[in-house]
Amino acid sequence: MSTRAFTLAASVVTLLVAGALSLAASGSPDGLTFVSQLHGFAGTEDTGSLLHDGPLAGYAVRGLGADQLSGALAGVIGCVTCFALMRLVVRRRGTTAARR
Amino acid sequence: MHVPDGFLSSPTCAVTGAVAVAGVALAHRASRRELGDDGVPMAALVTSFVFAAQMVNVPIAAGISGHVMGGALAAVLVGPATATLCLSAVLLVQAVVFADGGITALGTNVVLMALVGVWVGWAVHRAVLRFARSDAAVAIGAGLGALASVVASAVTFTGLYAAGGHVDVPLDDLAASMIRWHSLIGVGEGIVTAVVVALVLATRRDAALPGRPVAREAAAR
Repeated sequence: MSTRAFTLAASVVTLLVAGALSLAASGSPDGLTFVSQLHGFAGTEDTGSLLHDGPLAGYAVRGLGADQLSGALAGVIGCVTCFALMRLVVRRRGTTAARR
Repeated sequence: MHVPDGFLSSPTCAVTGAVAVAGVALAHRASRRELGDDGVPMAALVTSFVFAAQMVNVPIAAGISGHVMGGALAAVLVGPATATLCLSAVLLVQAVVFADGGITALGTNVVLMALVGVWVGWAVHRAVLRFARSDAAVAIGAGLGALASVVASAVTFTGLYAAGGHVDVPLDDLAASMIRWHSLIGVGEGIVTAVVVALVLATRRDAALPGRPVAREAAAR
C-alpha cells in the first residue's frame, strides 16, 4: 500500500473512531478519576480555568448542546487539530520536509 | 489518566513542567533522526489516531472506565522521540481546546504519558524483540509495552501525589488502587495496541519494524 493510500485509509479510520465510535464511549470515570473519588481527593480538582468556558470544552460544541452531533464534531475537530499541529511541529526541519 | 488542575501543588507542577519542557525539547531534536520525509504524514496521523483512541472510554468494571493512552503504540509506529512529540501535541490540544487535563497540570500529563508512557512502552517493546524477531513479536512486544506503560504511568502519578498531593492519602493504598485499576486498563490497551500494530504491519510491510520507524525505512527506498 502506498503512503498516500495508507494515509487516506488511516485517516478515515481515525475520523470514524473520533466521530462515531467515541459516541459509544463509557461515561464512567476513568481510572485516575475513579481512584481520586475512592481516596477522597477528586474534590480538589479546580475547574476555574478559562479553558473550561472554551467553545469546545468537554468535547461538546457550544450551541449544539451535548447531543451526538456535538460530540462527533468535537472529535473530528480534535483529530484535524492534532494532525495539523503535529505536521507543523515536524515540518519545520528544513530542506527535505519543506518540499511538500 | 489526565490529571486536572488542583490535584498537585504548584511546586510539583513547576517541576513536572520543567521536566516536560526539557523532555519535549530533547525529543524534538532526536526525532529528526527518526523521521524522514515520508514520516511526516505518519507522525501527524499517529497523533490524530492517539487523540481519537483516547476518546473511547471502555468500561472495565462497574462505574469505572479506561481508555488507550497510546504512548507505546506511537513509539512502535514512529519511534520514541517522535512519539513523545505526538503525545505532547495530543495533550496540548486536549487541555487547551477541550479542557481535558488541567493547563497547570499539562507538564504532569506530559511526564506521565508522553515521557514515562512512551519510553517505558518503547523499552519493553525493545526488550521483547531481543528474544524474538518476527511480525508477531513486534505486535506482542508493542502490546506488552503498552501494558507496562500504563502501569508505569500509574506508579509515577502515585509518586507525584506523594510529593505534591493536596490531600493526605495513605500512599500504599493509593499505589494499590492505581496499580490495580491501571493493570486492568493496561491489559485492554495492550490488546488494542497489538491489534493496531499487527494491522499496520499487514497493510504497510515496511512499517513498524523494530527500531526502524516507518519513516526511515520508506525514506531509504
